Order: sequence, then structure tokens, then C-alpha cells
Amino acid sequence: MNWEQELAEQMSGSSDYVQQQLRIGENVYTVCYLECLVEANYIQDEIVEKLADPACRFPFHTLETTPEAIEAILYGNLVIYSHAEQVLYVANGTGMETRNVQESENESSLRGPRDGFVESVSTNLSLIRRRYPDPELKVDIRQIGRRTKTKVALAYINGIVNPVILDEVKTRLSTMDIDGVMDSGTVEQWIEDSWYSPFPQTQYTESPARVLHMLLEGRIAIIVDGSPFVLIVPVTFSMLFQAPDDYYERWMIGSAIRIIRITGASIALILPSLYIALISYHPGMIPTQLALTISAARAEVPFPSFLEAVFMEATLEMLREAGLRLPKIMGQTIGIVGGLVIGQSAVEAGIVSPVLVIVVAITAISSFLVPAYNGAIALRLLRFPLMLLAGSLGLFGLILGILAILAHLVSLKSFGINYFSPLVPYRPSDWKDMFVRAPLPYLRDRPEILHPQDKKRMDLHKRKKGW
Amino acid sequence: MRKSPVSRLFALLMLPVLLTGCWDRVEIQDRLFVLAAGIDKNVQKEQKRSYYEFTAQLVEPRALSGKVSLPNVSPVWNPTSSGPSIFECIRLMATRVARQPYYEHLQAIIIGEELAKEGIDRSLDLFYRDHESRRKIKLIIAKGKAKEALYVKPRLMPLPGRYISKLTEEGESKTARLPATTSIGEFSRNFHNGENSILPAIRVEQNEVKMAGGAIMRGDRLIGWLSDHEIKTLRWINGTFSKGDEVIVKLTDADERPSFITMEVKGARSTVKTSVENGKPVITLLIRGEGNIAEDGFGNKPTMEKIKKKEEQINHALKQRVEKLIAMMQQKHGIDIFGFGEEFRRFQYAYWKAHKHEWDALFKEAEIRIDVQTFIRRYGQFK
Repeated sequence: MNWEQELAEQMSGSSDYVQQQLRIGENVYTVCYLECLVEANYIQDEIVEKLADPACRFPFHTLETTPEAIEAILYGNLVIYSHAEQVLYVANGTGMETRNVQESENESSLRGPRDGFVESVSTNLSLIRRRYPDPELKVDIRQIGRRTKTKVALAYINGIVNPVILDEVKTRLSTMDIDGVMDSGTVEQWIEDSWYSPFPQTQYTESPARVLHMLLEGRIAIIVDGSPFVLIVPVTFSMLFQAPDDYYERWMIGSAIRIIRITGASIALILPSLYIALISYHPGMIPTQLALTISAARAEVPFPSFLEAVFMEATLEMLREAGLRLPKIMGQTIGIVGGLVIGQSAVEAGIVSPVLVIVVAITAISSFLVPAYNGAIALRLLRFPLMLLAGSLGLFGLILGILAILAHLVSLKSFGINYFSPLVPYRPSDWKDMFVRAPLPYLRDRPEILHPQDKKRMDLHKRKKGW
Repeated sequence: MRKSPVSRLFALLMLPVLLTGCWDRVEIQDRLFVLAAGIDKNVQKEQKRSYYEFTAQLVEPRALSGKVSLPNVSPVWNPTSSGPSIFECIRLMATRVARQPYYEHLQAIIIGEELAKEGIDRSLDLFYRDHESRRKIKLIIAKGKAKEALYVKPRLMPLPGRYISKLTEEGESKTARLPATTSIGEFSRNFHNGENSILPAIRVEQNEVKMAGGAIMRGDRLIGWLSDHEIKTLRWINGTFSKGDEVIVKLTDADERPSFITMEVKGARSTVKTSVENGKPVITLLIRGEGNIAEDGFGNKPTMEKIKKKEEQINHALKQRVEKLIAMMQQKHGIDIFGFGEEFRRFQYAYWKAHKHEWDALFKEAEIRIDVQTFIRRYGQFK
């Protein structure tokens, strides 16, 4: 069957499909492409000129089958048929429209590289490759998505990565059979260990420098075409509290900030439920003076502390969600409505006590301290069941809830790595980069829990003490 | 929905949470904080059933914070009820106050002199047992009626209960003029071990409460009082002397005027050595203390010899006081309040076991050797 008819038939119904004949000198070519993916100027300037130049042989590679040709067309390339040679060539198109590499808005850092990933897998790979010009950086690109055939690249450093984990990731990716992959989130949800866990079992980042840091630790990056978020696996719970700045800034600052983040996360998780438990069940645990103050402040509040707290916390979540989707100009309105109307008026009306407003405010600020958004939202959601437990069983319930969360965290795994390591199982050598970020020379070894092939990260014996 | 065994189990586990129905939940504003309690003996003879007179100091925090300005709402209310047991007194009180009295913030229990003479253990029984009261509650003996202490209107603090509790705390830690054992937990331990205790004593004046030394408790019965200077001596003996107290030595200067050396004590320790000689207990007491010269009536330039001499004068004065107090306890009251019996139990167990029921009698006869050493660490700048 004539390939021209075959292509036309396959592409029928797509008005942007162009199949035209070019007569250059005595040669006749048929050029096929998608109008929307290839610029007209490009054909004129590059292709026609090259074809017209008799000295120029085709810098293009040849194609054998029709499906190959269709795929090339669909990815924005030109397929050229030379009638004289009866050969099918493919010429790279200009590529699709992509966003420029710019600073990430979600993952801003005070100190450190500012470039962020974009929606194109090749641009993203180039951002990583440029930082690691070494053949040991391996990139395994595959197509996932029954219909979308999205390019998914797996990047790792050969010689560092643990082959067991690598095989596991590859196996899980190869099981993916889904019609479309819209974002790296789709991949994440397919390959993660537990669907029922509130905790994220992969991390995403928009920073190429962070990806490189993770690759050097022996982790694996998954880059999905069309998504500026690169997935990193395997991850541990302590990574929720790590931000790139911790490593770029001197260790004391990094450590101090990390301790603040961990404190903040604990506050965000338990403070409202602790408030409920103490107010409704155990006022004896509040210092006398404070107990008297709280009692006076709550004297007019008609609701039990549980309802009061749930009401305010739910309002807070609503405000936050509303602020997220609003255009920036409208953001002020949310601030005024949230701060003044709800905060102040609710207290004045005697619906909530001023102490609770402080609790809610501290909780809100604390929950923003966690750098990983998906981790922060998990902690924020877990707050509500904890509040229910504290409201029905007091501190006993709160402790039960915390135990349940800990039990879950301890049993959770991310690609064969224990999620709560290096705390459980106990790997104290990895604690140097957990609660605190130890000074650089102490981070000589890569994380032990990942069992990297190359364990040493640096050689310290040339570095003198006291220079 | 897929019904896995896990989800069924989970649902089953969640049900009891709903069953509790917020069991034991009482919001903080519905509790009535009891800050102090006074227990007296009921003297009205016609009410035969009643024995105790229980006064609780209840606090209305709203009135404290100024949110309520009604003239009839006051921050403090001291209702009194009487009955044969403290528990009944508390329940009787519930018929008069509209909220649930709450004892976890109870700061002090004050016991009147009359009741203390008959024994305080029975009246404290509820507070030992009940889960709402803490072992840290201060136990204070009042000269006169305990109730009166609760009606005092302190000038600087709105709540008499807190004022009394703070007062004993300060008195205990900053001046050593109150005994070191002040809580019902400590008293209970002493009493149930068969020991005697010294409890802080207060005296009520018009608008204040004054720390007035200690109450000598033989077991749980009040048998006498110690002045605040005697309490200081007691704390030297026990080695529980805390910072900031003073030793004053009275001397006469060259012009025959009285003159004083005052030492600010920074710490003290005592060691008790026990032995048995000729079937009699012998106690060797070594007291060591150190401190600074706070005031020196002679105003001389200090030299090594002068400091040494002052140390000796202080040692001598202290030793006299210690001897006097021990002699008073041996002769007048005849009970061991110094904890020497405990030292015998630890180090002379065989002897203790044989004689523990007649210990107070043996204590009267005991020979006590005292050695006092004090050190002046600083004399300050005085130019």
C-alpha cells in the first residue's frame, strides 16, 4: 500500500495535518507534519534551504515503517519522502512551545540555584545533565500511557545507586498501564507503596540542584514529560523537613532552621487536640494562673472546646484553600475577611475564645514551616482525627492517635526503604542529616539506609585542621 | 465498597470511641477552682453529727479578669460546711455552689490549731486518696482558726489562697524560716513511716498572714510550736538550709557598744554519724556551711586572721543554738524531729530493730556531739 495514502488515512480527521509536495529543482519531496507543532518559517528557512543545497546530504535519519513515521509526526517532527531516492526521512522539528526556565514559585530558596524545571522532559534533562557532565549519569527514557505515550525518564547515577532499588523502580514503572499521564502525580500514585497512607512516599521538587543532590545520595529521579515536578524515590519521613537551603547555608543555620521546622510540624499536628484535651478533660495540667485566665476567657463560649476548635480549624482550612485558587489581587480580601471578620468578630461575638484564636494562628503558621507541601497537608489532615480523639477521650485519646500514627509510619515503606528510618530501624550514623544538618565533613558517608554502591562521599585527609 | 477484614475491624474499633460520649468531659469554665481549703474543728456542740468545719476558697476567674463588674460577683468566695467527714462537707458544699468544685489546682490546706491538737491524719485522708488532689499541696498549721486565714485580704494579690501558698514557698526557699517539709505528700510519708514532722505555721493578722515558724507534730498531733529562729537552727541540723539566710553573732566592740557580724549563708550540709556506746545511741553531727559577710559591725579591713576569727565566732554561736534546740527537744518535748531515728534505721539496723518502739525515749538520753564548721568565701568590697 502506498505509504502516502496510509499516512493520510491514519491522520484523517485532523485538520492540522499537512501533507504537501515540494518541487525543488528536479527533485520532488513530500513533506508531512502537524501544522500546530511545526512553524511555517522553519520549513521555509531550514528544510527547503537544505533540500535545495545539492552539496548538503540529508542530515536526517531514515525511517522504515509507517507507525514510526506517524509517531515522529505526532512528536512534532517532519517526515520527508524523497521521490527520487524512495526513502523516508525524518527531520527534527523545532520542538513544542515550552515555558522558559525560570525561578520556581512553589519552591523558592533564599540561597542556592534559582532555575526550576519546566514542562518539557528534554529541557529538564538538560538542566540535570549540565550539572553532571559524566557518562555515569544514566537516563532511561520510556513511554508510559496507553494513549498519551508520555515520555518518562528515569535518572540515576550508576555506581552510586543501589541496583535493588533501581530494579524495583523499573519494575513498578513497567507495570504502568493507564490511558494518560498528565503529571508526575499520576506516576507517583501508581508506583507508591501504600494508597491508604496520608504520607507521601515520593518527594517532588522543581529544583535541578536538589535532584542532583538526591542522585548523589543514591536516590532515583523520575522525570515526566509535561510536568515541572520531578519525583524522587525512595524517600524517608525525615526528608519532609529538609529544604535545599539547609545544605547551601552553613550548618548551624541549617540545623537551627530544621529544628524549628520539626517543632513546627509537631505543633501543627497536636496543638489543637492538646488544647481540647486540656480544656475539656485535664485542666489540672495547666498552670494555675493560666487555667484561671483561660477559664475567664472561655466563660461566655457556648460550645465545648471540641466544636469550637473544629469550627475554627475548618475555617482556617477553607480560608487557605480559598486563597490558593484566588488571583493574587483578591488575596487581600481573604486576609481581611479571615483575619478581621472571622478572627476578631468571632471572639467579640463570644463564639470562640481568644485563646483558641491564638492556638489556631500558631497551628497555621507552624503548618507552613514544613517545606514539603504534600507532607504538610498530611499533617494538617491528621490533625482532625486527633482532635476527634482528644474531644472524646482526652489526653488518652490523643496519645492513642499519636501511637497509631507512629505505628503506621514505622510500618510504612518507600521502595523497600523503611519510611521512618533512620529512627526505626535504628541507624544512628544517618542521624547526622536528620534533626540537624551536621557540618560538611561529618556528612562524609552517603545515607546508609539506601545501601549505595559507593559509600564515601568525600575524602577528608587533604583537608587540614586549623588552616 | 470493598469490605476487607481490616476495614471492618477498624469500624469496630471506632465504635467504642462514639460510645464514650465525651465521658468525664467538663469544660474548664464549668469547673470551680478551689485554691485553698481550711479545716477546723467544729466547736458548736449542738450539732452532734458534725466534727469538721470545712472552708473552701472558690475562685471566679471572670471577676478576676474584670469581665464581670457586677457588685455582687466577687472573685473569691469562702463557703463553709460542716459534717462528720471531709467528703460529706465537700458534697454539702455542692448543694450551695452551682458548679463542680475542682481540686486539682488546690494550693494549700490549712488546718486550725484545735483540730491539729487532736490529730490531722483523718482529715487529710480524702486528700491522700482522691485523684484530684496532688501530693504537692502545701500543708500549713494555723495558729487559731484556719478559716480566718482564707478571709485575709492581701494587699498585693487578689487571691488569698495563692498568697498563702506563695508565702510558704518563698519562706521555705529564700529565708529558711519555714520548715523544709511542707506538702501533704511529705507529711503522709513521714507519718506513715512513724516519724514526726515539723509543718509550717502561720499566724493571721488583720490584712496579712505571717509565717510563724513551725508546728511540732508528734505523729499527726500538734504538741508545740517552734519559732522561726528555731526553724533556722533545725534546717542547719538537717542540712536543708537553702540560700540567702543569715547568721548573726553579737559581740561588743572596744567602746562597749553592741556590734553584729552577719553572714549570708550560701549553702549548708550536715552529716550524721551514728554509733551505739554502752547500749546508748550516740550521734555525731557535723555541720558545714559557707557564705559571705553581709554586714560587719567592726568595719575593719579583712585579713586572713580576722576572717578566721570571725569564722570561729560564727561556729561558736551556731553550735550554741544547735545545742539549745536539741536540748529543748530532748527535755521539753521528748521527740525526735531531726530524723536521727532514720539514720539509725539505715546504719545501725540491728539496734534500731530492737529499739524502734522506744526510740523517742532513747533519743532523750542520746549523747549528741556537735561540730560546726563555716567558711567565709567573700567579704565584699567596701571602699
